[in-house]
Order: sequence, then structure tokens, then C-alpha cells
Amino acid sequence: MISERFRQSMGWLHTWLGIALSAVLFAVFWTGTLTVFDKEIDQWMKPELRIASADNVSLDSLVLQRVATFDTGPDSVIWIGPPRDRQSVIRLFYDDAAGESHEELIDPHNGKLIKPTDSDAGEFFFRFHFMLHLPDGIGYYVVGLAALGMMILIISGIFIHRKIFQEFFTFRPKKRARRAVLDFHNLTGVIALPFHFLIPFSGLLILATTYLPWSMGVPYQGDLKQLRTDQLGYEERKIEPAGVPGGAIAAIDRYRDRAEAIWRSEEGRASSSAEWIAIFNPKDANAYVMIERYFPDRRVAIGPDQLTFDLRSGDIIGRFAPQPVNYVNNWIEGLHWIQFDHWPLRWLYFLAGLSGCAMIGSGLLFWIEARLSKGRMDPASVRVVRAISIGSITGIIVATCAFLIANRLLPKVIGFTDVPRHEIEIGIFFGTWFMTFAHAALRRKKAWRDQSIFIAVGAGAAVLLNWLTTGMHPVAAIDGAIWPVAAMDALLLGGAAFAVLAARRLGRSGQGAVTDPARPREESDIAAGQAV
Amino acid sequence: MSGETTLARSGRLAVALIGGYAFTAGLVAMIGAGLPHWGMERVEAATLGAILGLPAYLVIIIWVASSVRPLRTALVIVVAALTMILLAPMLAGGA
Amino acid sequence: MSEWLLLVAAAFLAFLGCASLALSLPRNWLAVVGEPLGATDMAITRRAGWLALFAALLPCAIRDGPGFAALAWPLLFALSAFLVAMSLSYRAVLLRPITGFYRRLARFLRACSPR
Repeated sequence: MISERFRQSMGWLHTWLGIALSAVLFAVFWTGTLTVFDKEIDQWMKPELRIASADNVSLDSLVLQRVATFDTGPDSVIWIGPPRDRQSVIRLFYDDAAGESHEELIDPHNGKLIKPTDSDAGEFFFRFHFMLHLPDGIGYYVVGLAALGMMILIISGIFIHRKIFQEFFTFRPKKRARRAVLDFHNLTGVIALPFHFLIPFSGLLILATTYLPWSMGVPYQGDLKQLRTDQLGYEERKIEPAGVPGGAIAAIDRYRDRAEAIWRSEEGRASSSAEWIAIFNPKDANAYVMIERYFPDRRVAIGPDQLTFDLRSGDIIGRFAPQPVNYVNNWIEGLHWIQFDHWPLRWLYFLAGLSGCAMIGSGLLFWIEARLSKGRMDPASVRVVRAISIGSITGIIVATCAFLIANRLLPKVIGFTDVPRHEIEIGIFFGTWFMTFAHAALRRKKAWRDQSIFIAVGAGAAVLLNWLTTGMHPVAAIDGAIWPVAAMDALLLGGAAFAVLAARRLGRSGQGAVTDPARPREESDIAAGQAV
Repeated sequence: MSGETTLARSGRLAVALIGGYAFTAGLVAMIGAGLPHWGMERVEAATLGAILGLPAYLVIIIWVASSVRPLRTALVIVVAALTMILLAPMLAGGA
Repeated sequence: MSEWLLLVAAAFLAFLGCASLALSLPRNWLAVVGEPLGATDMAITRRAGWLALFAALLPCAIRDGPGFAALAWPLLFALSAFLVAMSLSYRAVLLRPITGFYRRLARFLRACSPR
């Protein structure tokens, strides 16, 4: 049996880690939840990408001519990304002879070049999710520490609760505000427990060589690059360039089709699409092609699965697939990357992410209100702590709305400044976020309600602005089967409606639910959750 | 535990995080360097180390936070960590 | 088509499982039925709950294989548990068809069992 002492120490750990990490954890969970739909956010924020998907795209006829004009060096690599389920455009990446990187997007229907709006869109949330937009990789370590803390919070949270089974189904909104908040914290925490544990775990595993560089390097005498090559089969050149110019590459479709046929027959799946076609040593007599699935579409475990073809003989000259331990590792990493095609599961991830946000937010809220009711904090500290909580919970959501609104309001080409457009968007995100902290410090408890109203107005405005600037209102998006935009609009409108409800509820409970003294019977129940 | 001073609690946290990290780093290196001697490929061993190292870190943190004799616990962890950190590179060298 | 059927089956079983487990707690049963939970009802409800919950794994695994089922099943459970908790706190009567079924099942079993 678990001793009372042990439970108390877990309560202490839970409380202090929770206070220290809630703000960061909420930001990471929120941006991670948005990243579940990163490509859909891309389509919303870069309207040029709203292209209906195309079947049986021939890369030979659409891109090979264009690729032949690239100013590549003899040992360059050209990466061609054919259309996939969530991304209908063709992507081209290469380094030119001077070593500069280029990216091009191609319309799969006519082979025309697409110039998208200059926005970081979903990519911004993705990078913030593990780097927090901090310089010098500091973000990696802050997020890493937060992820570790999250796992400890989950474990200690399990130990301090005696009646886990009952908490699965308990939510009493009509009870006092504090009890309801604690119920909500326990409920959202406990129902998705494996998810809340596996997400930080897999996140740390993805960055294992960043967090444990020395240890991971020991078997390799410190050569982490070799470790990465062994793990990922990456960019290992199978044939060196001959130094003799070769003709333009005439066909790549047939290699893609062969690779897909091999994967299909091995896995027995109806579809199994290639993610990348890499042309090594283009324009050289020793040019060759690699077909890769880094993120297989019908498998959780990420790859890479690579098949390398010699262009002269057409033979398979190299094949990479992860070994057993790495396959398990890649399954764990894959469940974090969520790059597979599985729409029901993608939505479940989104909801589970939201439940994580709700768990973190309600935990922080409960702690503040519990302390306040005991009169343990002086007014100045209350103000600071509350401002930080409000800014980090509702504030980042307000900032997200501002980011979307700025994206629709800024002209596609900005004349009056040299600052790139995507940086202005990011500046508006952080500027708004900063202001929400100031607003919370000024408005104190009323800021909860205020910012809920900001969210409702902001989300609604985003939908409206998308309609005005692109002509695509939600019904038109559904009508034209542009599902990413339809779903984004629906989520924004749903979020706005929810924010209105929250604002109304907060308006009511603002009158004094917090100041009413805790009843002794419930106090013992609640003590388990705070044990300070 | 609940009667401890702030200093003692900070000490626990420091041992849990830093000592725990050192222990994890040592363990991951040991697994990565040691298992190839039993025939596992080193890329597999290094990856296995990372997968097992994280749970070990969690166990250490929980242990330090709840230990009845925190000083002894800290000593055990530090000694084990240093031993593994010193031993692992030698194992790798022999492989 | 069968993909959707399997998904619906998994979601239904997960919800039924969660609802049954929740109803096997006296407080929730009382809120839904209006009568205290008897020992037979409790045993039937709880066992059926676990059964349905684990049965939900099957359509998940048939649909997408074990790799996906290991993710979809816990998340379906999370969604179901949330929906059950919300219906218990806002519209408990929504769960009455389930309790009705278990009570009839209990009566039937009593009638069958020889004294």
C-alpha cells in the first residue's frame, strides 16, 4: 500500500512542478495541438495552396523539364515531393552550385509555379512547439525540462489520487467553482492519461541526441553524425559523381511506381505513396535516384524506408529499413509526428491535445484559487501570479487569433518596410501575447472574462476576414470540397461559441464564488490535490 | 517531508534533476557501449539506451523526492552515475 | 465503407463500455435510474462495461492493424469517458436506455437461474 508520507511527497512534487511549468507546458501543448492541423493552417493562411487534390500525377511530364533547368552542381541532390493526402502541391528542394538552398511549389494540375503568401503559418506553431522561438536552441532545453516535468506530474498525479476509478466520470459543474475546477482537472487528466504520458516521452525521444549527446555518442566515439546515418540511412551517397556530364534525366515515375509496388506487396496495403524522390548527382553520368518514405502514410512508425535505383541499369542498389529496436523507437516517434493518413485519429489527437490544455489550465487555476481562499498570498503577488496565468492560458489563444487576423489583413506584398511579411506576422503574435499579460495585470480577475471575449471576437473576425479576402466563406469551402479551410473555419466558429459560453460563466462566477470559505468536508478531499 | 526547509527541498530537487541526469547519461552510455559485446549492433544499442534511459530518469526523480533518507539516496545515485560514466567509454573502446 | 462501419463499431463499444463502468458506481446509477444500485445490477453492469471496452479493441485492430489500434483505442476511450462524464453532469437521462437494458437483462437472468 502507498504510505501517507509518500503520497504527501508526491503532492509536494505535483504542486511545485505544476506551478513552475504550467505556463510553458500550456504554450507547448497549445501549439502542439494546433500543429496537428499544421498543413490545414497552411492552406488557410496561404490561399494559393488551396488546390483540389490530383490523382496519378506524372512527375515526368510535370517537373522533369523544370528540374533540368536548375543550376545544380555535380554532387547536388534534388528532392521532389509528390502530392500527398494533406498536401496537394508538388514540392521541389535543391541546393544550387553556389550552395544556396531553393524551394519551389508546383501546381499538380498544370505544372505551373506557385508563389504562396509569405507566412510561416503552421510551421510557426510547429517550431514554437519545441523551440519556443528562443535564440540559440535554449527553447529545446526549456521544452525538454517541461516534458520531463510533465511526466513527473502525471506519475505524481496518479499517486495523490485515491479514487482514480471514480474520477474517470466525475464532473460537478454545479458545485462551487473550486470543486468544479478540480473535478475538471482530474477528469481531463485521467481520461487521456496514456496520451499525456506518451506525448512528452516521445517528444524527448525524438530529440534524444540533443538531450543526451555524450551518452548517445559513446558507442560511436562521439561521432553523432554516424549514429544518425545508421539510424536514418540518411544522405549516404551510394555512388560518387563521375565528373563526366550526363544527359538530362528522362524518367522518374517508373522508379516511384516500382518502389510503391514493392512496399504495397510487402505490407498488403491498398495505398502506399512515396514521400520523396531524390535525384543524386544530377547532370552527372553517375546520376541515381532514391525513393523515400520518411513518413509512411499507412503506418504509425516513421521510416525512413528507402530504395535506391541505379539509373543506367535500373537495378536496386541500396535499401534501407530500420532494425527492430529502431522500429519500436520509430513507432514511438511516429505517434508524436502524426504524419500518417488517418483522419479519425487526427481529430482524436486534436481533442486529446485540447484536453491536455484544459488539464494544465484548470490545474493552474485551481492552485491560484485554493491559495487565495486561504488568504496565504499578499495582494501584489496575487496580481502577478494571476496575470501570468491569464496571459499564458487565454493570452496565447488571443495571440493566435491575432496571428490569423494579421495574416488576412496584411497585403501580400508589403511596400513600406523591409521586414519580411512572415516576421511581421510573428511580431504581431508576440506583441499581442505580451499585451495580454499587461491587460491581465491591469484588469485583475476580470481579465479572464475580457480575454474570453477577445477570443470570441478574434476567432469570428478571422473567419470573416478569410471570407472577405479570399471570397471563400465556410459554406463555399464545403461546397468546393476545400476541407482544410472548412474545418479551420468550423473550429474557429466553434471556438468563438465556446469562448462566449466561458465569458458568460466567468461573468457570473466573478461575483464571489472564490471568496466563499471552503467547507471542511470538501477541504480534506481537496487537500490531496495540493498537499503543500 | 512536509516539515522540511526550503533549502532541503531545493537540495532534493537539485539531486533529482542533476544527479538524475548524470545517472541517466551514464546508463544510456552503458547500454549503448555494453550491449554490442553481446552481439547487438551499436545503432540498436544506442537507441535502446535512449528508450530505457528516460524511464530510469523518472524513477530516480520520484525516488529522490520521496526518499526517507535523502542523503544516502543522493550518495547512491551519484556513485552509480560516476561509475557508469567512467566505465562506459572503456567498454566502447574494447568493442 | 467497411472502414466507417468498423470505426462506428469501435466508438459505440468504447462509449458503451465507459457508460457501463460509470453506471456501476452507485452514485451515478442513482442519478440516472432514481433507485439505488443492487448487487446483481452492479455485477452485470461492471462486467459488461469491461467486456465492451476491451471488445472495442477488436474493430480498431481489424480496421488499421495493431500499430494504429494502440493509439486509436485509448483515445476513443478518452473521448467516450469525457462524453459520459458530461452527460452524467448535464443530462443524466441520456444514459437511461443503457440502465434499462441492464435491468431487463438482470430480470431475465434471475428468471432463468434455478433456485
